[in-house]
Amino acid sequence: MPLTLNRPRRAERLSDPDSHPANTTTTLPMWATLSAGTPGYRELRYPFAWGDFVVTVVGEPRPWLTPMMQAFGALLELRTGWDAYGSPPIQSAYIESALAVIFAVMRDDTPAPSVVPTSRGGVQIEWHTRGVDLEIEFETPFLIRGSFEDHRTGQSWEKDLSFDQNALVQAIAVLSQRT
Amino acid sequence: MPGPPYEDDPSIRDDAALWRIIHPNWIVRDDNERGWRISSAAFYDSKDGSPLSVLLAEIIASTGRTADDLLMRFTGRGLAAITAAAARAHRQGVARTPHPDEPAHASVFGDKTGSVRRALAQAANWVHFPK
Repeated sequence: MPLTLNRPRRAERLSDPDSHPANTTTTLPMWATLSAGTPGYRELRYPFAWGDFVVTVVGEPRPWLTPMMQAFGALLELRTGWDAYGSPPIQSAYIESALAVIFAVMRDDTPAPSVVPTSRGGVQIEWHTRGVDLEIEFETPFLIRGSFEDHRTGQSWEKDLSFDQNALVQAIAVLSQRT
Repeated sequence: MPGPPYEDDPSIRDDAALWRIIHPNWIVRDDNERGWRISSAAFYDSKDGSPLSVLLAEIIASTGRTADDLLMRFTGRGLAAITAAAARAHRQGVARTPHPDEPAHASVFGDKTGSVRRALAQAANWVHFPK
């Protein structure tokens, strides 16, 4: 399923005409997207407190898409001190990084992950299903660590996934093929 | 704040219960165990470098408070406990770091790799599941 993400628009990127109240929006207009006018493509919008995630899909969205996007949106609504320990809000840079990785590795038949905030204002994505424990930790938007444990085969690893995500792709394949 | 160098406090016995307030977003589905688990994300050190905050259950009790009293300030949160022994078994130390408004505050210090955080999460038991 081809997917693209249109980021929420930032104020500093607006031109003067765009800044007119009648023209303001939190997302790119349809005419500005690569998929504009392409038959079969459609936009799905997942609103959160200060914008929308906009995902362009072909055909029916996969079952994991909506719960995952709603979970990411909920993270962006956490305020300072959300965890009772004075933690900062979740930074959008972490969300963007996590979404980029997720859209690159998810398959049609991958189960929906849990999307979890960290006390550092970051994000962790995890699965505990089909005999597999798989966690992806975004320690910074660019420092990504993963852990995998297959309870059926005994295989396990912990890896830095910042530059090479082949192990993650294989782990997602195992997770997706299982029943 | 990172604070001074921390030293493991031997007056905190191995069986001492260390309470950690758990946000509902830290509770994730675990189909492998047909239930729910506490995410390892609940056991990161703070962004400012200060170590993992916990509360010494014995100090909470000695000040005449209960878990319910504690959670009144934190609606929707839960409370989980690890023992000092579980922390020490994963290369962590435990130090008393009382705050002016919380004499039971303590810190679990040490390098928290993913495997350490997962071990702490798996060692945690519920004191109070979020309502």
